[in-house]
Amino acid sequence: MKKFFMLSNEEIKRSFKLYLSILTMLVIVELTSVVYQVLHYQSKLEDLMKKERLTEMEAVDQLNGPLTFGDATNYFKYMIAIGIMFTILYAFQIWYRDWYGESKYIYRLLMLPGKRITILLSKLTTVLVFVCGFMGIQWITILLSRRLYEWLLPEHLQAASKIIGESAALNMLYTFNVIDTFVILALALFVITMVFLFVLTERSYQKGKALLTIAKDVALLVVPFIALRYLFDLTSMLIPNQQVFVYLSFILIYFAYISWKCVRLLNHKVSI
Amino acid sequence: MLEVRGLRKSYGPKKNVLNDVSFTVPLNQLTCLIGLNGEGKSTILKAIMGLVPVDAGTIKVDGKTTHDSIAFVPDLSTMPGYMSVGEAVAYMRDYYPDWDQQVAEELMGFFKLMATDRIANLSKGNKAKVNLLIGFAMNRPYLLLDEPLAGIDLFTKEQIAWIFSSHYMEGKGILMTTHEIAEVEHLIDRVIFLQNGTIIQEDDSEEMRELYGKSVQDRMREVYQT
Repeated sequence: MKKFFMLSNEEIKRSFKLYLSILTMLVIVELTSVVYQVLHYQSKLEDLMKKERLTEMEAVDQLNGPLTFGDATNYFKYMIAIGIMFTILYAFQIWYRDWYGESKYIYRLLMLPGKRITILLSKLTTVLVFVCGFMGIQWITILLSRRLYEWLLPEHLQAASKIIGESAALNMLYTFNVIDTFVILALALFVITMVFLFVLTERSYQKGKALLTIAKDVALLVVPFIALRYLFDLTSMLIPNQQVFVYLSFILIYFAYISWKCVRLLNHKVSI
Repeated sequence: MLEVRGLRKSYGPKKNVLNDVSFTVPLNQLTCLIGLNGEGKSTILKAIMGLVPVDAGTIKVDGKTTHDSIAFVPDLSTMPGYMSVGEAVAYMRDYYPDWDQQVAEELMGFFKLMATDRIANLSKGNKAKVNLLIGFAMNRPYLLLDEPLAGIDLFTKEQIAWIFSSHYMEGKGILMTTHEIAEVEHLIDRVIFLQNGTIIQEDDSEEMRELYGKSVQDRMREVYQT
C-alpha cells in the first residue's frame, strides 16, 4: 500500500505542472467565451435596434429571444471534448514517457520490489484523479460563468433557466447526482484501462502481432455488442431494462478481462 | 550463486537472440560477459531482471527464482530528469529496505556529485555515477553492470574502475558487460564469450592467461577475428 501511495504521489507530481497549465488554459478560454457570447449578443442587439429602428423587445424577438445560459456557454462542449482528448492522450503519455523519455524510468519502475500491479494501479489512479479534478474545475467554471452571465447581461435579456440551461454537454458534466458522477468515472476508468491495454500490448509484442492482438481485443468488445443488439432487435425476449442489464453485465465481464490482461502483460510480457 | 540455465529468446522465427545460454555467477567474483555489439549481452542482463521475457530457461539465485537479491545498473539514465541527485537517492531509499545510506553518501562524495544537482543537467558520466551509486547502495549480493564504462571520459572511467577494485565490491557477485576490457582487465575473474546469442567460451581469466599466454583483450580479438 505504501508503494502504491508513493508511486501515485510521484506520478501526480511529475505531471502536475502540465495538468495545471492545461486546466488553466481551458478555464480561461471558457470564461472568455462566455464574455464574448454575451458581448456579441448585446452588440448584435444594438446593431439591429439602430439599423432596423426597432425597440429592444422587437430586436430580442428577431434574435430568437433572450440569450440563454446554454447559448452563452456554447463553446463549453468543445472545451470538454478537448479535456477528454487530453485525458486520453495523457493515458498514453503516462506510460510512453517512461519508455521514450529522456530518462528510461521504466527500468526503475519494473525493478521496484513488490508486485508490478502497483505500477498499473498508481498510473490508473493518477489519471482518474486528474479526471476528477477536471470535473471539479468544470463545476466551478460553470458556476463562475453563470455569475458572469448574470453580471454582464441585463436581467430582461437573460432567459430564465436552471443553472446549466439546455446544453447537453453541461447537463452531463454538471451533476450532483452520485450515480451520474459514478457513471462518468466508471466510463473514464473503462476508457483509460482500454488505453493502458493498447499501450501494454504494443510494448509486449512486435508490431504485427501487437496490432492483431489489439484488433482482437477491440473485436471482443464490438462484435458481441453488435450481436446482442441484433438479437434484441430481432426478438422481443427481453424488456429494455433487462437489455440494459445484459449490456452492463457484458461490459463488466469485458472490463474484468482487460484488467486481467493488463496485469498479465505487465507481469510477464512487457519488455524494455 | 546466480545460476542462468537454458536461456532462450527469439524475436519471431528468424531472429534468435539467445540460444540455450547457461552460466553461473559466484559471489566474490567479477564475471565479464564479452561479445560484439548485438550479441545479446544486455538482453541476458535484462532477462535476469525480468525486464525482457524469455522463451525458455531459468534464473535462480541461491536456488530461488527471484531477482530480489540482484541490483542492476543499466547503461542509461533511469531516474526522472526533474529529480535532484539527493531526491533520487531519497526516492530509492524509500523503496529498498536494505538500502545503505552510508554507501550512497560516501559515493556521492567520492564522485563529487552535489545533492542539489538536477539529473537532467548531469553529463553522461555523472548519470552513470548516479546509476552506479544507486546500484551499490541497494546493498544486494549480486550486481549486474551493463556497459558501466561506455561513452564516458577518462577520469570518470578511472573513478569507476577504482570503485571496482574497492571494498564496495567485497563479497559481491558481479556480472558485467563491457567493451572497455583494458580498464578492468586486472579485475576480471571469469570471462564468458558470447557470439550470436551462444556462449562460445567460458574461462577463468588467470587460467586463460596461463593457458594461452594472452590477455583477455588479446584473447577476445582472437576469438572474434577467427
